[in-house]
Amino acid sequence: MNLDSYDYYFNRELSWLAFNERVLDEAFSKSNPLLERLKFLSISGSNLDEFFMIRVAGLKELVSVGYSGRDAAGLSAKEQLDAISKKVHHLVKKQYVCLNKLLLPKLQKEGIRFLSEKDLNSNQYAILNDYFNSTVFPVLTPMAIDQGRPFPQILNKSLNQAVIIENEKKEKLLAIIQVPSVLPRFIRIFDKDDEKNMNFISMEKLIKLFAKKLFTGYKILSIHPFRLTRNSDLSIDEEEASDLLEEIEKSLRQRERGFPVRLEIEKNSSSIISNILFSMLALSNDEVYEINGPIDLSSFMDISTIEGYENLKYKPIFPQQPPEFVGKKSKFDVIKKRDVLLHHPYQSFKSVIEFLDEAAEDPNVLAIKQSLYRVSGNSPVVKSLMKAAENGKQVTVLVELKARFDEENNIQWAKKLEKSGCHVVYGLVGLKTHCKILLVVRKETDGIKRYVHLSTGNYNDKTAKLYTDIGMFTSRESFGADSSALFNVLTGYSQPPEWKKFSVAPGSLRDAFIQHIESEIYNSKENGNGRIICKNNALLDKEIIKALYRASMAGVKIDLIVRGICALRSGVKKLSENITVYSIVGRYLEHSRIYYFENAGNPKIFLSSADWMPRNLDRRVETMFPIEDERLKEEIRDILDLMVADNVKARIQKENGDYVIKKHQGVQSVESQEALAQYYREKNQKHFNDKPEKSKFRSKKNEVDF
Amino acid sequence: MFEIAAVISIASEGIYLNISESKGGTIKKIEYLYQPLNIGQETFNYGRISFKKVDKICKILDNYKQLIKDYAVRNVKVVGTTALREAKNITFILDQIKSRTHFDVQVLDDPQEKSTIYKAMLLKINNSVFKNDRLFLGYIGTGSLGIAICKDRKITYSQNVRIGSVKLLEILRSFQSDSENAYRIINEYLSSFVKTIKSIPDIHRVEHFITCGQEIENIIKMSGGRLDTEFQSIPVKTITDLFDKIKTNTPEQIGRKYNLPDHDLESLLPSMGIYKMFFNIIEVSPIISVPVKLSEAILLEMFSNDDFKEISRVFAESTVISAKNLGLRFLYDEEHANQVEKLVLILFDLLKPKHRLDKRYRLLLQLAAILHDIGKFIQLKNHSEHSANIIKGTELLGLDQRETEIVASVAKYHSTKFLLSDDVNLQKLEQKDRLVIAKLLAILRLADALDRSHSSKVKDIKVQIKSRKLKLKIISDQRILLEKWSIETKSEFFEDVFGLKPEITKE
Repeated sequence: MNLDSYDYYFNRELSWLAFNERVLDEAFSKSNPLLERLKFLSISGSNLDEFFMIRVAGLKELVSVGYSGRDAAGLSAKEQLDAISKKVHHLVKKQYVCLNKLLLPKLQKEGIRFLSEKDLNSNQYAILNDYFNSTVFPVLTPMAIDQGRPFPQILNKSLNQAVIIENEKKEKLLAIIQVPSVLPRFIRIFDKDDEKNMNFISMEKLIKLFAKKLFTGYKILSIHPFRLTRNSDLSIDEEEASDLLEEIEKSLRQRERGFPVRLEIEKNSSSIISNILFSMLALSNDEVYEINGPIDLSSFMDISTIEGYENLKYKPIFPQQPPEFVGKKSKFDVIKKRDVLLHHPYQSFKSVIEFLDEAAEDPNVLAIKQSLYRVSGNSPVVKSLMKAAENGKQVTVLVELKARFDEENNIQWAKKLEKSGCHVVYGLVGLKTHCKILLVVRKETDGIKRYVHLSTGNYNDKTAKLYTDIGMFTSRESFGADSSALFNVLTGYSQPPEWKKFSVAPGSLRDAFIQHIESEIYNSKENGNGRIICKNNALLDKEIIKALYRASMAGVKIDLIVRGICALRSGVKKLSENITVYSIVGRYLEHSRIYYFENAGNPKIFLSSADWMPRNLDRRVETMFPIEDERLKEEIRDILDLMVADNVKARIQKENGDYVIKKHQGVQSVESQEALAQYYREKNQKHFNDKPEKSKFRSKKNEVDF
Repeated sequence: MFEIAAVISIASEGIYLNISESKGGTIKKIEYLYQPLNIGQETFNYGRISFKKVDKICKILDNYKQLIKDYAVRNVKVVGTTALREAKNITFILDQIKSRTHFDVQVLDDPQEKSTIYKAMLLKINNSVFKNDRLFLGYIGTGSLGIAICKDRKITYSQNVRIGSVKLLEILRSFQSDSENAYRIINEYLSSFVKTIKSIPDIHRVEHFITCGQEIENIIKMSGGRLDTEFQSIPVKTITDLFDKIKTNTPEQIGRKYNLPDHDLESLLPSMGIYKMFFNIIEVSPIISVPVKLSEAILLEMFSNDDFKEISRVFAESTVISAKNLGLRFLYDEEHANQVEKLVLILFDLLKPKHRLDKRYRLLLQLAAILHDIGKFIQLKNHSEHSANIIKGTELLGLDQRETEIVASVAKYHSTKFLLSDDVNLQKLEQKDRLVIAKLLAILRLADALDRSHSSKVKDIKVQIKSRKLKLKIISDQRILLEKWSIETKSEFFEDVFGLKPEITKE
């Protein structure tokens, strides 16, 4: 059987678009509160923006350099672009159906109204007139276009107005106004007469309303917003585009940055405008998207998080403290005795900060080492590390500066850390440090003891409330030794050792995965009990996919809970009949990576920072570590069972690549994220109920952990 | 409580850092780092280390320093082996390293390196069932091959053969031969050593072949063995089969096939050649590998470990045994040597308040006493000078160069005049050491005089120090006229050194 056959793989981009459609579907889902639906819609929009800037731009470059390669699914770059255009046109239509037919009317009913010129009363008009004169007008720079003036540089992702004006001689001119990005996209109109509603007007409508003030002496014939997406110049990130970059570099072409990849233009725009833009920007028909509504859905993010309207948002959940830590003075004492799992956001990230704080103050702590990939601005993690350094601890911080976005911000806190006495090391050349690891070296009476926290997600207190990630505290000696050695590799102090427990990419991680898959194949052939459950965010690595196909053919039962891209085709007769692919898109961004191998009844369970993508396995420093504590293994098994049982937010991949919600007639409905929140609440309750009376009182106090 | 210590070892192929803690007799490795750096290549090819290399050395040492800080380690030792030892510009290199990293690098000489390793091997062997058997210890260093025979935990014979893995490599390079023929050259070259090794006393009665080092660990890895056990047995056939399989491969091919780091590859074939040579002489299988690394061995010396102290004590006995074996080979007057040895030890202990020298010098004096006359094998005339040359030429087990020099000097001047500054060789020694030599010499001469007739008349001796006089009461059943006369003629030097005039009476 030729496992390389094009028929056995999904194209990466189309698989990603399918994922984005799942996000969009959440905007349609009545089970979500209204503002959350708006948020899903907004996310589906910003996701697309990034997709165009990086993936589409990369493919476009491949086409322009004449690259003739095909992807695993057999598509050329041009074919991929065509398929993407078709799919995105469909998605955009769906997005605006959702917005116009469902969300805006519902919002209106709730009193969140988006007004047009005709809706304005005189009072509101006056308010807006004032606002335009005082705030908007000064930052507007209309640019007329004629033979003498070149077409202005249209900024990436900026919203613009194309205006056709006419002078007294009846000569028509095109002018462009950039909608100022420094001002809010939706302006709240504080109208004393209408306090029960929240009225907004979009910036482009406001500008249209008062545009005549900008073109005195001209007649305005038409005015329409448009938005251009370019190959992102500065923010281009190898992380998303590295596979393409490689191919492009092979073609030895000077990379030209910033070329346009998408034009969004208001539906029913004057054909003059669209024709001019078209030719000026050298775009093809496929790259133009007519938008039936406000362009740039990502700007609705501000509305979705608006203050008040709690009934239209998710009910807040209160992250739990792991019961092991509750009422304990020292986390070291707890971790010394047993491993502790932390499942965010169901359990609070606060435990990590508290652990760091304790380490910073503890006189026995000698050294703290941590990898930082993306931290929040004003991060408590950074503060704790600085405090530790000031207290005389040896603090080594491995900073990954190539982390996306906030480059400036990253450099700033890295400098702050250095100033406070931390030893800051900037990753390995050519390898992005993606593993998440924290090591505390403590001098105890019976010797040096190392405490380790390993995680599937970044040390970011903000995202820990929104992303699902699992971390583990341990003081196991082999983990401490591996962690030390890993830092020695990351700081460039030493060659990689032979790992005791970890598997580390680049190097041994892919082999480790394939070995575990192979041993399930063996178990299946020998005893008929091969079983694999994988939970991660993307599956693209062909070697691993092939191993999984072989496993399926050998009878290994495989559940893949893959949130995003999945190039593996499940359910194909004689190839992948035993594989089920799930994708959970819900309130929280699924981010944890769990790898479960049945191992003939003695399960091997791992957590990892890595997805099954070539970039994770080849171009990043990633770790995978085993869960060894039996209780923790049980907990992970519970988590996986809940996820596989999800029939509300989990979609199943069909053979054709579509994803559908599991049918659950007659079965109790299970929403895994909600069930997990419940699971951890009950865990804490059970913990306190098992305790003698007194602690019951205390439990109430501790249960809520903001 | 526990102790923590760090050793940085600057080796030919790279720099190691080992931070370990010791508690209740067990030593636990906390950090073990390795950064490859080909220092040996410069030393072995050009005889010197470039300053560019020093930059790299210092960079690595600085990194290691951070880790030493992380664990707040105070007990730190930095050692260098062959690559540093053989560099002609070593003084400048060490000075550079010192001024840039504040590390004092101690360059181990070859015998020192070997005895450190042997001691660590013996400590491991101490826990084995075969500890009292006749063992062959082999350690392939980069510069030379250390071999020793051991029985009842005591080393009875030791020898350093100048065929280390890197030395062999140099020879290979000078042939510029292709990989197809490399193993043949190795074989031929090594065959010239076979005779020497075959003549080692008791080599044919060896019961176990014990070895250690990076090479054997790589061989174990390549043959699918595990390295996490105390002892690892490998059938000889496994190694010879492996050698036959890879002998015509290039290091690159071997690296790819067995996933070995580059720096270990080049010396692999030469080392396997050395092992093969031994297998032809010592027919013992399987051979046993003990996991001993130089850095670990040095750590043992740094910790106050009781087991290791015991090993060191036994090891000093081994040194004495090997000196006596050396004497036997040179047909020495065993009875006289034993008598003088007995007397110097009595005198050394009794004179302790006067000479204030520690136990290590007691051993040196003992060795000098055993070996002071072995030069007579060559010629009676100037025999003491021949004695000194033999001592210097044989590298006594467990002694470093300085110590060997002291023993040789004491032997050299035992029958001639000794001036504190008249000898060119002595001028190489520091003032402090010249004083040591004088003190030891004074005792040796006295003891030698007490057995002037070479007939062990003195059974015991009692000493009393009274107003500038060393009163020696001899217990003997024979007349001691000759000895009396001898003391009187030779006591001047003793008086010069200790300010005491020896007087002899018979009880």
